Amino acid sequence: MMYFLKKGAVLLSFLLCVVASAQDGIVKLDDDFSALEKYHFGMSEAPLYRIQAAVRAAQDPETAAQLEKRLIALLKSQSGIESKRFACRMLGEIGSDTGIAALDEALDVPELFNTALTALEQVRSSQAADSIAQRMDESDVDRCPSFLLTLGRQGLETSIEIIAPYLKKENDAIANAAAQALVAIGAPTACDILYNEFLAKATHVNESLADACLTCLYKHTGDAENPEVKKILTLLCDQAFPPQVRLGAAQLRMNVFPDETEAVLTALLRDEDERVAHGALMQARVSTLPSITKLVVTLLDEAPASRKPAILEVLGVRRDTTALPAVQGYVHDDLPEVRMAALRAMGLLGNASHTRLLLEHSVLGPPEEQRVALQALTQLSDKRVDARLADIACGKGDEALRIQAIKVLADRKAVSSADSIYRLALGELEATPDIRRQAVQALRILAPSSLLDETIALSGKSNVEEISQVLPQTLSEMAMRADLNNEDPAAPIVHYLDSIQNSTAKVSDVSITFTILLEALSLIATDTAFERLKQTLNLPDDSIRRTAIKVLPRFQRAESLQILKTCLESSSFESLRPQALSAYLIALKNSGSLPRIVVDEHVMFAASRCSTPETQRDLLATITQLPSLASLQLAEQWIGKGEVSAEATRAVVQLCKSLCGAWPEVVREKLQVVDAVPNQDPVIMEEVRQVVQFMDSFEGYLVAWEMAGPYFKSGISAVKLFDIPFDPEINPEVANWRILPLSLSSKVPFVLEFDRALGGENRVVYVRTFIQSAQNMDAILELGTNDGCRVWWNGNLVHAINTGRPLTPGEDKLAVHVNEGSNILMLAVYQQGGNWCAAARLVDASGTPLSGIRVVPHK
Amino acid sequence: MNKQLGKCTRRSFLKRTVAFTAFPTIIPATVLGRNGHTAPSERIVMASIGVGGQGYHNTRALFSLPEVQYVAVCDVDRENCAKGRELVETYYASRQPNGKYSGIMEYYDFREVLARDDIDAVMIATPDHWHAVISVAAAKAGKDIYCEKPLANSIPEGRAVVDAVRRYGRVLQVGSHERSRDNARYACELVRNGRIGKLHTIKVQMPFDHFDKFGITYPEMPIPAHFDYDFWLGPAREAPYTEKRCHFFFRYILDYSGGEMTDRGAHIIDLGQLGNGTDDTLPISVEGWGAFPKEGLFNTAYDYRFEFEYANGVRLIGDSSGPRGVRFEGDAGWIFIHVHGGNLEADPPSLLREVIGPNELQLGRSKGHHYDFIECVKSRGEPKAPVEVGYHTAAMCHMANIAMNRGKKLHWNTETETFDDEIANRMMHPSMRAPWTL
Repeated sequence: MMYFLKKGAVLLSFLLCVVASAQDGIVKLDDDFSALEKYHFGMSEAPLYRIQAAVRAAQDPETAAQLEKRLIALLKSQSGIESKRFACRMLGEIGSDTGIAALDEALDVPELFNTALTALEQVRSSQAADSIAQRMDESDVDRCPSFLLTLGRQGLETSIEIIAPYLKKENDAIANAAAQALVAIGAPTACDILYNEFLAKATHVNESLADACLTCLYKHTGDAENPEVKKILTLLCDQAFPPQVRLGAAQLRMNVFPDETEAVLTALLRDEDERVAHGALMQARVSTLPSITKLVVTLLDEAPASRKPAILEVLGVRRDTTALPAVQGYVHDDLPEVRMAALRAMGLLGNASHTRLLLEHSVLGPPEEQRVALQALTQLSDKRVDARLADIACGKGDEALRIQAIKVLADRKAVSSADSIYRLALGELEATPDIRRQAVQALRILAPSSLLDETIALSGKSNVEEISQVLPQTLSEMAMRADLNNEDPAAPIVHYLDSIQNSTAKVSDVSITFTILLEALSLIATDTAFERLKQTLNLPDDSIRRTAIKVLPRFQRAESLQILKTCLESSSFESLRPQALSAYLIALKNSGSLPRIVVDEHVMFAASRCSTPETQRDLLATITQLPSLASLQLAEQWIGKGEVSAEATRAVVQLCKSLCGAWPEVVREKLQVVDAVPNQDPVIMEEVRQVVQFMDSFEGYLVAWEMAGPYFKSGISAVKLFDIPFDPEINPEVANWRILPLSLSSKVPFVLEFDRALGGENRVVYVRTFIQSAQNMDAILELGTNDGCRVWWNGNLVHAINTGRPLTPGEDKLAVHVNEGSNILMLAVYQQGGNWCAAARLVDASGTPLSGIRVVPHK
Repeated sequence: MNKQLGKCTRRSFLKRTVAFTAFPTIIPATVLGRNGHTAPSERIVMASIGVGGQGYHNTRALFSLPEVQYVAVCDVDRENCAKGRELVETYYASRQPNGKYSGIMEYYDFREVLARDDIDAVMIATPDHWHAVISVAAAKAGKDIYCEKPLANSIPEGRAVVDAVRRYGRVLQVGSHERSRDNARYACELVRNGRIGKLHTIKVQMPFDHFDKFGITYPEMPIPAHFDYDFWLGPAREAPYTEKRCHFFFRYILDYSGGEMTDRGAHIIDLGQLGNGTDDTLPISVEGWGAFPKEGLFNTAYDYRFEFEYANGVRLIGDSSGPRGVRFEGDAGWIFIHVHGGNLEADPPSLLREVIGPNELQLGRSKGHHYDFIECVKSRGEPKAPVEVGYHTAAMCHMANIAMNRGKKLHWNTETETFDDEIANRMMHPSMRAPWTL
């Protein structure tokens, strides 16, 4: 509502101009009416739009009358056709009887005829109708239908008498138009005229009249008392009429005379014309008469194979279970289409006794048939189906059937079977490993909160290894949907881990149990889960600590990286160094949203720890995702390391691609190093050439940026984010500033593509760049953003626009003063949906990119 | 303006039709239905009316279904028409042993297509202002119909289509294909089965990103020889020809369409209706604010907010913010459906792991929006987006546009299908330039 108030304020200010003082409002449109008089297509539409807005916003009769007066005057003036067409249109929207004479006069101008006639139609008064009728009397044969149709659409009952005589005209176009006009008015008297005319002409088929009568009959369906109705419907059902007319009439006949339904529908379904018989299936679907089921079953047996699927579907949707034996007979038909249609119908008609039959089809048939049978099984509404499925799942039968039964129980959300399924998962009931795994997966949907502790305890059982791959996911999902009275979802698992450590819970294999539960915690990924994982690193058991190290990178937080670094430095993790390094590199690869300074430190530390070619290759692959000068320098250094030289060269080129905007001089220098390598791979050489070419296309735009963010708040649109300050505004030092990489595949090299670099919707990114100048000077910042933006120059907010818009480089032009020394430009660019990008450059008064400045992404 | 083209008599339109090859070719086994193929006599015989833009894609989606036999394409732009014919013939040719096929007719007047007795169904993908006139004529001619959304360019036109389709027992699928996505249907099942608690608000997010052509005044241009512009205008008012008025950009001119509202907005509002369980009705009030271009050819809103209120108390609030999609908010959580793509978000996220049981409300699944239509033509069943659904969704789009233009809260009478405001009622009145009518 606030939004309306805000926007409403804008609207109100406009309305105040037009409405508050009618006279004043109209005066304000003087210039627009003057412009309208001279308007022709190709000129600015602005005056027309303002007049149109005033017409549509007219809230009181006085304003409307004044506007009408001016429009009438214009229509009578010497203005051009487009001006007058506009006036006609507006009179159609706002005009009263006052404008009828002017509109009538306009009918004489061929180019205005249609627009003026439509306007008269819209005025919808008896005077307007009289004017149209008068014209119709005088009109030639060609124009007569237009007047008739207009009178019809106008819908005044007083026009019925005027139109009726035209129904008898010999000219078909006129008679048909009269019929359409009467049906458009649709009043009972109009319909009676049509009925009489139809009956009078009953000796020959007149489709237009038939359509008009049918429309009238549909409009007045309760008119069973009218003796003409039955006669007409009977005639329309005659074979002389097209199938769709016969079907429409028959449907109506069944509605109006329900006693005839059985006879009419039976006749339709057995009609010689296949189009009628087939079309009647639509009625057969909804008829509740039991006899129709019997008839459709008969038709099913008689029908050619190609029609059987449609008939089987009809039997299914009728939900009359007396058709069940017939439908079941086609479940084993030779044709797959027929079998599948029968299976679908079984899903709608069947009961618990068909559980096994459908289950077998869902396992043994061709893939599409399996899918249909599975769907049918999940649709069976008989509640006893769940018990049957549970019996099959827990029985000693075929393994594939048992697994499928468990799947279907989950698909049916058969929570009543949760205990049985849990016993299967536990291994208490006879079950193969695959059955147990399926049961564990089914618990994700079926198990109630009360079963959570017992399911967690599964991890401590002796036979848990069989289900160790699927149990963590089940535990995490159960925990996250459990009703825990606002407790952290990780809490039950944490409690169980504590009880193992306190020896209050006995488990078969502590290592396996911890592995399962720590993996579950990593999927839950809450603070509680993370804290418990950290504690585990202090346990003496290496296998447990190994698991903890392995799952740590799944918590995508800066602390994971720091902890793993500590592990690598600590002597207590001596035996786990390889695992720790591997996990550290994974965590490092995921650290793209951390501040560049932090990441650079980690890159250098990782470099000191990667002593084998394998780990060095892993690190090189990692740093290509982390563009910075530190990464680039490391990769360049390793070009000289024989075993990883090729990977280092590739890393240098990849990093140069990302950094070519941020550090062009450095990039050119490094590319020369690559270029100088003897016998360099031609693919690498081509990439080097592309980077250089790309760097030559910046056209003076600013491309050296650091970015921070993206910032967003759940459920808050970018329009509202605009009013919320984030770290770069409040405390820039703590923001996650890192290089904004460019992409060589960008259509326009200098465009900053945030959607590519960050992605997501309804968010804001901050970017900043440092402009170093040898002198003081004035400049213009040419800016374009998609969508809105805010701009700070040397810490001062100089521009703000909260809108959705496409990128138009240079759309905003801001005067700025460049100081001698360092200047800082910061933008916040908002994503309101669709593309997300920006382009900026500094130019002088003549529009030439500023010279004598150096631009760098950070100090 | 080419006035000669303005007269649309039966005689004149017959002259416009060019038959490209109606000569019989050697009939291969596939055409006869052997080798496991569907015989032509059992196929749905189809034609496309409007084969540019979305019509081209729809045609491709339909003719490649084994149950369909295409025989004709129709377009008032002869270049589009020829491209459409080539598209279909190339496909059929690729399935012939000799690599040749030339059995598709070109038409430039839809009435000739509808006059063919052998055609069972038509695909309509013309500009919006033609949808209703052609759909009504197709229903009267006994054709089943796949009609692009919005179903109609005004509320009364939509009502006329509903009545004609039901009167003649036709199958009509509106091109609101987003409701055929499994994810969208699943999300709506979650809402309708109370998984987010009591639904109170539906937020429709329709970001607009075609600003670049707005605000520009275009000059009158000569009508291309291959384009029957007067026929293109059809029931719409006369207007000087300029290229940007037609083809893709017509959607930003209120005479022919409703802007973003009836374009992608129609998909999103449509999902709102599905999730709210109000496919069969309309809200009882609408209020809107819109920013319209101050000049230029295009006159649809580019920034907007509107709010509907349903009789069940639910509010549907739309605006031009992103991401594009619909969010259902209940007292126990929310679900967001991304349009297009169908990805889901929810709070709590565990909502998306919920299973809908056999005794709960199920919306069924679709094997594809076009395929669903063909299935229903065969079985006479109800498609996923039947005519009433299309009518109500399109009507909401038009109601919002009118409210934005009118600048005041409007109340809707669901019985009489009118507003409580005379000017608003006149604004929903469609232009029917002679000889066209419904």
